[in-house]
Amino acid sequence: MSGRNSDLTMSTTAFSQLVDEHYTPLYRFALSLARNQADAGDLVQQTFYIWATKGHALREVSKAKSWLFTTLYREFLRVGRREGRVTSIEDLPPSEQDVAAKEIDRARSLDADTVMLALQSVDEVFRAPLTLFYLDDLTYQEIADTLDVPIGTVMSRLSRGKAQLRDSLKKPEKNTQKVVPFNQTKKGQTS
Amino acid sequence: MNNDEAKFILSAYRPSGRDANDARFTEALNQAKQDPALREWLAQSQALDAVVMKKLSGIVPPAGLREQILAGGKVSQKAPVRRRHFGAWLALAASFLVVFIVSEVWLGQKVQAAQRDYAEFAAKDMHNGGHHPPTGEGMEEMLVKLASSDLHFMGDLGLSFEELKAGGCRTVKCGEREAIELCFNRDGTWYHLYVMPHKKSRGPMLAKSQSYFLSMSDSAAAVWTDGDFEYALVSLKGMSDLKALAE
Repeated sequence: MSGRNSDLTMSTTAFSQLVDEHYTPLYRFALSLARNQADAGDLVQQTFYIWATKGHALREVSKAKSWLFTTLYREFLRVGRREGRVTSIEDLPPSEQDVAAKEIDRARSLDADTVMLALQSVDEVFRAPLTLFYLDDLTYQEIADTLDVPIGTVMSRLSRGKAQLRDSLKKPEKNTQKVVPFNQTKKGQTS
Repeated sequence: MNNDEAKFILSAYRPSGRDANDARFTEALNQAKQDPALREWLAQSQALDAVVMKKLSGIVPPAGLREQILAGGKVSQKAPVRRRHFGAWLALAASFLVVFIVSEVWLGQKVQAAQRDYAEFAAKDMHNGGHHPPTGEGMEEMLVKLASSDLHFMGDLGLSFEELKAGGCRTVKCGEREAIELCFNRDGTWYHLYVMPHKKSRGPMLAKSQSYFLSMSDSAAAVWTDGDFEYALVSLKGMSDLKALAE
């Protein structure tokens, strides 16, 4: 991406470059949120559709990545509705248990899809920052902006999210029970 | 900062090094360097994070998604801003053009009506008034000039309204306005030239208008302006004769 600040109405080539650069991490983020491939694909498509129709309003090209993640997340919230009760941070047990070597070995032995399933089982409020953390595409400020929460909250949710993920990685066979299309999630449903 | 607080912060420290320059982690990282237990905890925690990161990087979008995005973008992408602005300017210019054309048509019709009125007035006055060649001082020279076939009427006639009045030219009223009639004979035919000071308020109308010819059953008239005066030239001869004289 060039750094020019001119209008972002894009040629087909420039749009292609933008898609090539960002659609894979966006898809991973969307898959983590939506928890199935079809909805994840729709989310990514919708995000780029919004870019194609409104992206020219963004004056700084350098912020395109952050804009795309933010738009995808907002679109997910808009379409899918957050899962009913989000676990309060205060309710969770302490997370800072030592990571055992066997946990690392076990994670290594899992394939990518299984790890994604484990990630998808984490409560959504923790899952979004956790996925952005692992995708390693955004700075903390960008993650905070994307999720519209303070950086301290991002860190707090990461800590709790990691605890849930570690728990899920120990028993991945249970994770598939949670996989439902996000747009079928009803208010009040707990995961 | 105790170790629990350090763990809380360091659990957000990514193994990729992306956060190495983030001051939020400095104190906790320094503490980990000095505390073997914390350092060991961080190493294990980052090892697990690195594994998860690597696994996630193995997730690939389904085949065809990229093409669908590109196809969707192509059909949904708005026209470039410059083009949309160009379209707006084009629409604005088109509306100005329409207004301009309508105004021109309206003004043209108004000018033509005024010219016709003036021509009809001149013809009527000629019929009613007879011939009144001026006899005052300096008018003889003027009449010779007007009778000359070299004179181009729609050029600069070099007339002075006050001198014409002083020279005994007949004064008539054309509506509310005063006009002077200058009768002259050329090649045996009497012509009547009516001269009115150009009315500035409707100046653009007549000044920019072309000469106007009106053919009547027993006479013909030509009307034009040079910006200073509005002229009506009328005679009992036909239109071709008048045109030859006027143009």
